[in-house]
Amino acid sequence: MNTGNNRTFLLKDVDLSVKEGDFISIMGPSGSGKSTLLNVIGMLDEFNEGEYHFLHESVHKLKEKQRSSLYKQYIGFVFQAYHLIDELTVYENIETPLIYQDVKSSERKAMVADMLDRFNIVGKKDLFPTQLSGGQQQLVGIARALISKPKLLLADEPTGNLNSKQGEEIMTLFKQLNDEGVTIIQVTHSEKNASYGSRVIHLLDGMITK
Amino acid sequence: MIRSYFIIAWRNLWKSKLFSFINIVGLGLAIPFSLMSLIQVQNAYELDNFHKDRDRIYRVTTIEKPVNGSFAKYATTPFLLADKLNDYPSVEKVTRIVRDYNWELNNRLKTLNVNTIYVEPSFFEIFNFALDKGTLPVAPNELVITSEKAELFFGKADPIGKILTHTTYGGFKITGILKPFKRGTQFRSDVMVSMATYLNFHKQVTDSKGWAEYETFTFIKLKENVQASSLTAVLSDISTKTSAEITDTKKTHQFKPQAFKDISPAYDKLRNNPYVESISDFYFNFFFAIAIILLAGFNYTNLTLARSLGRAKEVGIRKVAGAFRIQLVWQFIIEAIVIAMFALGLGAVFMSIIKNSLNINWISWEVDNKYILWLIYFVFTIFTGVVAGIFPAWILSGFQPVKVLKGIASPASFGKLNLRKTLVVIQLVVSMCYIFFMGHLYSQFKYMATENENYNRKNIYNITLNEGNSRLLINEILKNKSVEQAGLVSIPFGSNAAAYAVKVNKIDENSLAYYFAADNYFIDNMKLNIIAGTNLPTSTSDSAGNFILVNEKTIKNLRLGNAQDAIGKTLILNNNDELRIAGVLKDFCYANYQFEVQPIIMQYNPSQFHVLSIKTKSVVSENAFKDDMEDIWKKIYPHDAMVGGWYEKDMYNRYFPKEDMKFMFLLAFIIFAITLMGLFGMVTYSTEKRIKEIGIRKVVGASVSQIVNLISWSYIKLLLLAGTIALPISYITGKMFESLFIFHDKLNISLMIFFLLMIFMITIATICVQVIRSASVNPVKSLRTE
Repeated sequence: MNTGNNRTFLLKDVDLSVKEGDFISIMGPSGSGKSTLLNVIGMLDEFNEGEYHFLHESVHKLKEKQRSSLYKQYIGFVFQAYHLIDELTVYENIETPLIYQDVKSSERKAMVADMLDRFNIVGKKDLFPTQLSGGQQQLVGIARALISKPKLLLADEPTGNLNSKQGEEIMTLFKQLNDEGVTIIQVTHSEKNASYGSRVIHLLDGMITK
Repeated sequence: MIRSYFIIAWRNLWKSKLFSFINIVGLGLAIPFSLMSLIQVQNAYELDNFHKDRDRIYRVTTIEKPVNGSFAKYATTPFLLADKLNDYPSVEKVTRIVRDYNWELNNRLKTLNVNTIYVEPSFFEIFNFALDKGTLPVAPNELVITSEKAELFFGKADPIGKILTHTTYGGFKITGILKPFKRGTQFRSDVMVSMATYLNFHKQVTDSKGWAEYETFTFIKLKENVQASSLTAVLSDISTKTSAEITDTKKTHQFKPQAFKDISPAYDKLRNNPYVESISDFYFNFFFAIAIILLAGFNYTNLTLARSLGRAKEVGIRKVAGAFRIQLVWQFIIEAIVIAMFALGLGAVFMSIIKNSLNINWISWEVDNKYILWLIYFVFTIFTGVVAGIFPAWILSGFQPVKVLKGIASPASFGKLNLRKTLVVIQLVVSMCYIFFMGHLYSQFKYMATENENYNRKNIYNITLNEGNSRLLINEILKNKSVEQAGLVSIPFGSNAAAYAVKVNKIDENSLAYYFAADNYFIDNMKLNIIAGTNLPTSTSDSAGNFILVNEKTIKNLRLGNAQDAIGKTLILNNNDELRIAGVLKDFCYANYQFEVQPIIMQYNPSQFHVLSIKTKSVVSENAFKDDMEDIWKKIYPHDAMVGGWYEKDMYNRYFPKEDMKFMFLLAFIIFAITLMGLFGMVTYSTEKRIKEIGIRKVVGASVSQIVNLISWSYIKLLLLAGTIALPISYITGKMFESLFIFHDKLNISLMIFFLLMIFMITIATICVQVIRSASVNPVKSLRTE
């Protein structure tokens, strides 16, 4: 990746293969390239060199439109700052991805209701994000990520803005999801959170060290 | 999906109230002018839709083909064509109509402009115009009149049988009152005059030379089940035959039928086609309406971009959630459409306010089919929303999610600040140019309404005289201590005078001159400038009638040499009276400021004195004087009401187009308001973004006024730039407008400067209000939010 006149590598010589059903934690100090790696995996960021194979597709050869329909179908994102749309209710936030996938209204209703039920937030479905606590907002964020039944869940410090109890709840939920077959890759600072995963990758200056 | 677009649009509007207010009100102010243009379009399609059997009616058009030169198309034909058509078996009825212009009729008390057509009785059989009462005008100098005009002339009294006078064509007897008819007709008129009158004064149209003149509308009603093609053949036959009659004019012509329903709107520009809007008229009107909409649309673009950062996060999340760019573009466009819909509602309210508070006769407000009109409004509004929304939608939807979510997207990063500045400058320039132009119009109208350079309007009170000898009245009036002197005239300056024929020798060709009957006191009252010779002789005897005054233009037209030479020469008036020039008047504008001065002749002629022009002493209470005059009048004519008025006031009302100026002012106000609101919004949103910077500056010791200077300056620069562009443009347009008038005041630079200062002050105040507010925020507050 190029910044300014100098050619600097944000990520270098990353050779990583993820199997279906893995729960991977990426660790490393600030600026080591954790989030960039996650964004590349999530197809939000582009890369200049190298290859990326996802399922049976060669992502580096795809056009933007094909890439975006690929991640629409298979990948869900969870963010540290939740990134909910403030103007939409909990219900509508969760519904958003389905709208963009042209799911029928009746089907959408059923799927969102399932999800609300599962996360025990049925009573909050008409509230707006600003009326919720951080933990609740992150639950909504995860619910939104899961609504389109992704095979891969990408989480960028999902507990970073939460207190430890809320964080634990979220991690337990991740574990549970992983057991159900969802592949998870998370970026985290905490050893404890990493311990929920099956595998830990350490990054330093854009390179995998361990 | 659409539903969710509307929900998010609604919530966004509700959340950012300032943004919504500026856009809805701005667009709401701009939209009425487009709605008016749309009404005009629909009116054009509904023109003359109230006549029965319209599909059997045809108008004959003429294509004039000069031997060398280009074709000209007329909506009219030679007068004689109708006579030829009557013989054909497929023709049921034919009628002729001639339109005449610049008619003024008076009932001795009041002069009104009237819209005139000459008609034959068959006109009332083909078209659905009917009389309320009375009979059709047939004999020469008969007319029927609309009840509206009749009421203006005669009030509640029955007008049938009353006489209205035209200064050139003489007295007209009112034979009937027209039933009210729809305004949307090509036959729009206040009076319909008998065709016999037209023939009396235009005999030449009936001889063979008349085939070369196209002044007469010819309408044909075919018999039932007759094909139009038969009419085409008939007309083509007549074309060939009659072209042979006009070979000495070096042209031929061709007549063609035009189906009645194809007349309006006119796709082809035809000559002599009044009240029929052409497609190019629509373009012209829509240009202005759309320009105003665009100015309001600029606000939408500017403000949406100015607060784009707030929306960026949403765009990022939606993209991550799987939205394609096109879906986001639609979402933003729908927001713009929602705004436009609200603006439509508000605009409809504004329009009804304009309709009720202004009285402008060239705008029509009514259509026959309201549902179609609202459908058109609706479609237009969606179109407006799309136009206003598409550009910002494209920009906003282009945010890269990864940048947004990392927090590195910034408005500067898409470098559109210059675009925004450009839009603001355009708005300011348009506002200024328009306001300055309005200033030019105002100055000219004001000049025409109040000037005393051409003739004196001050301290003059006019009274319309009754028929017969008025000596008694005049003597009584002269006894009043406020009266200086009283003059007599046929018609006061400010109106069209009678057109007379004049020549020097019996064998000469006549030339045209306008005739005033006046006495020497009237000339004095008007303070006319006699550059050679003397005023008319003071006399009550008839010998004074042999002397006339003329203006410079008259002696120039008649080639009488210079003013001194002309004194004592004789002129022949209307092939009859020989009159001696007593004096020459300096040329002055007596009625129309747009046209060159016309030759005039003023003669002492008591039989034509209709108005008493009283010069009063300068300190006289206007109302008290009027009461005095009425008392005198009552003594002499106990059964009639006096009609009189202060000349200055009458002239003001005649020349100052109050309603039009109100409309112009309203337009200026709206354009400026849209600009100001946009500027206010932009200042608000950009200072919001700089709130942290302002906080830091204050912490390091900047005072409020230093910050205000710093931030305002970037906007004041735009204002100065706009001023530099607008001033020369306005100066040129002002000069161009001035050149339309032969008689005009000097370009009113001081008014321009006044307007410029006003614009600057208001604009700077708008900017500063917002900047001062942001600059006064306690820095602790603005920095803590980090």
